[in-house]
Parts: sequence; C-alpha cells; structure tokens
Amino acid sequence: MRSVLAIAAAGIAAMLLQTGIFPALPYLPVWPDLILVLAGYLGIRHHNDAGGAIGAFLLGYFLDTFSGTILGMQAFSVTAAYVAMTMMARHLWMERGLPLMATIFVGGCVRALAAVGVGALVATRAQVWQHVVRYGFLEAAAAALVAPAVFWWVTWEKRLLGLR
Amino acid sequence: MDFIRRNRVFLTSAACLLLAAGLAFRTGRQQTRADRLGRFFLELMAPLQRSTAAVDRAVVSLWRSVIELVGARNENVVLRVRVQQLEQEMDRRSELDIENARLRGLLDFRRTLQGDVLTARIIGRDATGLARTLVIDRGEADGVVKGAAALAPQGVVGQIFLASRHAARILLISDHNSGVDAVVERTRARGIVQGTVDGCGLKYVKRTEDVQVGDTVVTSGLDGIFPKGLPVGTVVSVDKRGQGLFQSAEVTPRVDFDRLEEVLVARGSFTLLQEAPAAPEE
Repeated sequence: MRSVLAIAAAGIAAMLLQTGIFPALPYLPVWPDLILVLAGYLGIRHHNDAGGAIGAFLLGYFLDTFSGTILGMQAFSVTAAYVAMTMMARHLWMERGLPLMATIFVGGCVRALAAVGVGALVATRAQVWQHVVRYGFLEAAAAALVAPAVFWWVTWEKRLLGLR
Repeated sequence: MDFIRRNRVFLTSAACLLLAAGLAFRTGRQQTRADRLGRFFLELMAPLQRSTAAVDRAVVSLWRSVIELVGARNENVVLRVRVQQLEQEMDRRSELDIENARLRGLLDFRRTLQGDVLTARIIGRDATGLARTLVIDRGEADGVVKGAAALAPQGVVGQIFLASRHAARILLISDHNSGVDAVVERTRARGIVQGTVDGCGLKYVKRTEDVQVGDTVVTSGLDGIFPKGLPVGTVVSVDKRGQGLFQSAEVTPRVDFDRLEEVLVARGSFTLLQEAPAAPEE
C-alpha cells in the first residue's frame, strides 16, 4: 500500500511538472515524459509483480486525462512500454546509470510507436505519427536523461514512508 | 495454474493492453469524453494545478526581475537600490497594466456577445506534445458543459471536451481532432478548419472558390457550437495542387494559444451582437 502511495505521489508530482512547469519553460521543444519513467520504475524494480502492469496502465490512464482526446491511447502506449522495459529488466542487470537510461530510452521508443499504432487505427484525423517522427526520439532521450533522478526520487519517497 | 503463476505479469499486461485498446477504439472518433476515472483525476488535480500555476507565475515574474537586474550591476549602490525600486514598481505597474488591458479586452468582447458566458483562467496545458488542449479552472459547478464553445477577444479558442466539477479541458482548434465549420470572410467560400502539425488548415473548400493569402477566416455558424462571424484565423498559403475537387489553405489562428491566460466559456447558446472587434495585438 505504501509502495502504491509512493508511486501515486510521484505520478501527481510528475503530472504537475508536465502540465504546469515544463510547458512554461522557454526554448524547450520537448520535455521528458516522467510518467513513462515511472512506468519504467515499475517495470525495472517490480518486474515480477503483476501489480506493476496495473500501475503502468493507471499511470497511462492518468496521462490520458491530461493529454489528447483518445481515451486509452496513452494507457495502451505506456503499458506497452512497461512490457518492453519489464522484458529488458528480466534479462539485464540494471540498477542505475547507462543501462537504466538505455532501457528507458527503448521504453520511450516503444511508447511512441504504440501511440502511432493506436492513433493510426482509431483516430479519424490523427497526425500523431508526424509528431513522433519529429519529436519521438528526442522525447525518449529526454526521458532517459532524467530517469536516474526520477528513480532516486521514488526510492527517497519509499524510504520516507519506511519501506527501505 | 503454474503457467498462470509463472506468467502473471505478462497476462496482466495483456489484459491491461486489451482494456486500453478497447477504450481507445470506443472513444477514438468522439470529440467528448465521459469517463468517471478521468473526471476524478481532473478534479483531484485541479487545486494542485491551480497552485502550480500560481507558483509558476510567481517564478516567471521573479525570473524576469532577475534578468532585468543584471544590467544594473555596474551602477553604484544608491543608484542600484533606487533603480531596483523603480524597476520593481514599474514591473508591477506594467504587469497590472497588461493584465488590465487584457481583462478590459475580455470585457469589451463579452459585451459583443448575447448569451450566458463566463470567464475562466487557464491552469494547465497539454501534458504531452501529441495534442493541443488546455485545462481551465471552471467546471460543471459553474455551468460548464461538454461541447461548450471557448473564446478569446481575438477569436475562437476551441470547445470543452471533458468537464469535472471544478475544472474542464478545452480542445483547441489547432488540435488535429478539432473541426470548425468556417467561411472565408471576403468571398464566403466555405470549408472546415482543422488542426495541423504546425497550426490550422482550411480544408474541403471547392477548387472553384476564390481564396487568397491574407483572407480572414470566420466561423460560419453552421456547426451549432460557434455563432456566425467569429474570427478564426488568417490564410497564409493556398494549396491547389492535386486533381481533387477541393483546395486547402494554411491558416494562422488569430489566438496565440501559448500566451492565452483567460478565456470566455459559453453556458448555453449565444450569438454575436455585432461583428467581433479587431483582435488587439498581444
């Protein structure tokens, strides 16, 4: 329960940053998707826990509430990214540093492709793919860059709640 | 049983993916949403977003002050203090003047509308770059409903597509899911304004119609959402390539969505008493 609380608090903070702070920063063409990084946290630190998948889905749904009109698009793409990062976490040893950032980058790319897929299938005039071609890799790279800090933050939150 | 236990993560993930895909297919072609969980999240975040927006404004204001102070470094202490005091006062007044002008413009524009409209402050923007939406601090408790028109003194902003008790989200006309029935003011050529990657486009205009760069595009009033004659944007290029029946044009929206701080939201039907005033320069 306390673990859920830690992720939920981090999710709310991430959403406030993504909807309030990042868009207000000047000269920032893309900003990191912190929700994706949190899904990565679940995939990497909780890759044997079925609750991680539900957590990733809810994080995506949360993102759906504040992005776009197609309900389920972000839920789908974030869950798909979670699956990709879980599979990597099962085969690679990673706690921090470059392997962690590489995993989040791959997760970001999978998320972008999943969003394109859903957008192409369900939206009438979706031009999601144009955005992904322009900014998809940059966004994945931005998420990878901030991933260690986000992991540190969630770990700190858990320690605060007496989990570690 | 053992198979389920061993693969529980992937089975749960598959179930979540199916659920998400199902949701996406169900809502993909709709311009409004009615999910309860989404309304709950929106309501939960509204007070936090309001606070963040206030902090954000304070930080931006502070940041501007810091930048302005850099130039005064080489001056002597007395002058520096004096200049600082004057600049702070000037900033405050200039900020107040700008806000005053903006609100006066909003009020003037409000007087040109017949119907029930209310002012809302923007408290958040789209969480990703995939879509173009805004979050406002008014919701169902204030009479804001899905499908309501959102306007600014410069022109059309968009329409409400999700509303919770105390907050709502606006789908901007520059979003690719948006569509506004519009006409070219000069020639009355009719088309649909849709969002594109870089702004807006006027589509489905008959090839025989006269559309030129610089033409103003206004609402036709035929979509039942926006009244006739509201400015939408200005034509910046016309594309007659291809062999189809239609031509299209690139349109720059009248409203600068990045600088927008307040909007007017319609509560019920409304009409324009007179032609919308010329857009004040931002």
